[in-house]
Amino acid sequence: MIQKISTAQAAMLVFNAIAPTATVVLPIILGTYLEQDSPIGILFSACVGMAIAALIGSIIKYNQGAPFLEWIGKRSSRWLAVVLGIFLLQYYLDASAAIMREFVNFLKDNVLLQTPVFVLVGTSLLIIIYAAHKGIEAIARVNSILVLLYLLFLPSFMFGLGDYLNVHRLLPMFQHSFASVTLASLTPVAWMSEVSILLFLAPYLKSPDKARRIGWIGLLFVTVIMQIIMLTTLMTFGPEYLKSSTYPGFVTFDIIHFGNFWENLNIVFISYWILSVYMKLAMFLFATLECFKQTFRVRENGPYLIGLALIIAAECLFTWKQPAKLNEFNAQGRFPVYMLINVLIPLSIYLCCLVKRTVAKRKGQAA
Amino acid sequence: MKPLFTFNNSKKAPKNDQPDRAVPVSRPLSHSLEANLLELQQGVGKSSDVVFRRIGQITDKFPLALVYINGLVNSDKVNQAILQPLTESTDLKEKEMTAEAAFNLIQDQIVKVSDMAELKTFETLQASLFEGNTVILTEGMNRALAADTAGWEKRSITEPSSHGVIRGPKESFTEDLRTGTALLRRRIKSPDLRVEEYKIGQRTQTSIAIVYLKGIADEEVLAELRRRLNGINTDRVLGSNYIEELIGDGGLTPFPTIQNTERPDAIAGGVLEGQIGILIDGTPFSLLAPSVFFNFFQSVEDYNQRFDISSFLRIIRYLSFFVSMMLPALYIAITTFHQEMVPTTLLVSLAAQREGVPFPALIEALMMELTFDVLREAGVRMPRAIGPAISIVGALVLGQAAVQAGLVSAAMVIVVSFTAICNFVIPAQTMANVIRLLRFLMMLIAGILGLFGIMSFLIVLLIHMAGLHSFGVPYLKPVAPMTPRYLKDIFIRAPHWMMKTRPKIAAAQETQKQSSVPEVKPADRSSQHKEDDSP
Repeated sequence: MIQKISTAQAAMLVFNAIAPTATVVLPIILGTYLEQDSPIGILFSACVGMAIAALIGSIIKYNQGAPFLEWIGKRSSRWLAVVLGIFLLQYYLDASAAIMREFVNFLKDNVLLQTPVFVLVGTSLLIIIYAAHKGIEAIARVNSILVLLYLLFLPSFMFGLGDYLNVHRLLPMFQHSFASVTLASLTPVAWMSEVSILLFLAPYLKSPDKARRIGWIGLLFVTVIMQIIMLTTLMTFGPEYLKSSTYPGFVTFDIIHFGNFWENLNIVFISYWILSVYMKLAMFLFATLECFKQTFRVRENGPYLIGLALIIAAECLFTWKQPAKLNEFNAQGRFPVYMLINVLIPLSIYLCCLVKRTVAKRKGQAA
Repeated sequence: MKPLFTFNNSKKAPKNDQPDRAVPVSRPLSHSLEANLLELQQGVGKSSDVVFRRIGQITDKFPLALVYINGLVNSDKVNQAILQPLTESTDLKEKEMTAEAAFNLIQDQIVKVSDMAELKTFETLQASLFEGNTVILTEGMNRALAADTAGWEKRSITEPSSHGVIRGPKESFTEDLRTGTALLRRRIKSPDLRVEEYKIGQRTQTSIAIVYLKGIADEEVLAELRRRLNGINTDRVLGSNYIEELIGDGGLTPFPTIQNTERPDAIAGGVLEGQIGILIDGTPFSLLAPSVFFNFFQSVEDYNQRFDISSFLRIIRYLSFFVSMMLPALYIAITTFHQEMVPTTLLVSLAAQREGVPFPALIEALMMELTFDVLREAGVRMPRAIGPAISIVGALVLGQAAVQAGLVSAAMVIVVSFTAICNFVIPAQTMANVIRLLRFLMMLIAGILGLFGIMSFLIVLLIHMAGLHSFGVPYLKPVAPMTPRYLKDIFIRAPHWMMKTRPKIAAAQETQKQSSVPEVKPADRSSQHKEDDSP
């Protein structure tokens, strides 16, 4: 029986496909360019993200939730689907490896300072293999529980920061040019474009015709959470600190305490964040496996799943060994790659479909 | 997705893996009484409890024989309802009487037993004997009569020993299946209550009854349950866990997917909610399926007291679940890896306590937990008279001495004790046992990877549970997948008047528990009662 996920579950998956790493990486990137205007950058990138979600949703609605590459193969040529599949596979392997490296780097810097990286990678790998093996239904269910936990964490986060928030630190507003806003938003837009993971989740959606709505709701949640983190960080520390800290969002958690009996609560939030990243990694591994299966028309999961996970681990351990290299990729390399894979290719496919449909309509009218 | 491991349970047992069968192919009865008796004697061997009682001489026109098993029958009933009427009957001695007519006469008029059945083969005859029936064999007939004379010693209905309640019924099931079905019938006086019986176990031939409400229980779940029961291929069923393991979902999962209880009100409550009860002869513990994770935190007591206190207690149970599973692991992780989380004064106090302890926190916790489990197991097995003494030695002397000897810290004793107490708060013993096992794994991983390890273990558990099903129902339902309107009886227990519909299980229709039109609020209801009381 094919597993199915509801619209709400899919929206939460989109949310967790973007939010966990975005909350860690984006504040510093946005803060460097926009300082106190960073929230505007988030809004700008969210608008572009919504447009990308509309594009992805339209494709899914058009193909009625069919497996993406199989649909391409049927509509054009098998070889085009294979070539496209290899490109996408490369993208998903790279993206998964980068996510895992960001995760491991964070753990190494903040949680387990002495533990070797390969232990952290190995542990994470086993967990995401198990999750991907259990299927998208199980991932979606666990993910929905984790997203609902935000209802618990957000109020305690806001309550804990209440005394430190200073609105004046957001001033002066609109000081940066539109060019700066655009420049700062490039990387967040790349993150938002990860909504394209829906292309590989489409066969599992209960209502593929609601894919656009799924993307929009997911991105709306991401925007809200990002804004909360960005605004609270800015109001607590000011724009200068945003530029100098490696993980500004988490430092904000660090100052929360309840009375004199519970302090340094960042570890609680970090624990929750760890769970979210596992979900993101599991989703990307699942999408990688789907991409592989559709490209090479295989039905089995087991051996390929382990193989793909090992490639991700190898890339994580050796390609992104230097944190500086990963930061450079995030700041400069990510945007063109993500735009090509997540926006330009789907856009080309959608335009081709539109042209074909128009031509077919005209032919029909002529006949 | 295919499971990583497949559990070789009965549902999937290969055909060549049959247990040796005690019952050969079906053999019809003969027209000769002597031949039938000989065959039967050969079948049961020289069993001293099997009674062969001849009535009349072999030279008589219609000699008869009674066969029954001593101890399984009610001797008075055999004597008064069968033996006496047969020996005193003059009709059987009439010259015109044929074998067929005599057989019918015995069945319809002479034997004074309400439940009679005709048997045609030796296998059914043997099975009937083991059920406590008395078999009547006659000369010239290749059929036998089975009269229901079952009457073995039974334990009376007592208070449940494993699921006690303060305010609620004090009855529990007994080992007798019929008592169990009767206890349910007394609670659900509806013609829709159906009882289907199965015989499982080639040698034990244990009676198993599935009990459900027609129109409320999901047909798909019922069909799946029947399929699994029919697929059981074992030679014995000696208790409820045999059935639970043979038909349960999840393969090697530690989590139970079927509830067990000895309370008839718990089974009745479940049946009224659309679950299916499984009663097993020979054990007071019955099963309820399908059962999801949250069912194991519900107690019948919740429905016998006010909703506010029930809700509070239910929240306490969930908190206890987490404390019981995670507290020692968190203690290990925090004291070993994340000391910065602890306020300085507390940290200094903990450090001072651990100063003389020669073991790392992980070893200290493992030692204490294992000691507690040893004491607990000893408490279950030891004679009742010396139980309190051992408890005192274990809890007070060992704990106090261990702290004074510097083997463990006082804080660790507190952690382990509180963990153990929290474990007893969980109403379902099966779930409490799962936590006991998981606690050790969590402690080990916390000792190696700290809070990261705990979180990693938690996510594995969550994924595992999210992938589990009980007879097709997701194990984390109604939380994941989320159905908000069914949450009224999950983390809290809403007032009865608010729970108008019963949760939809699998593909079944959501059905009404209480009338919603016109809505009667508590205040209106009290005024309504006053009006009713008025003459």
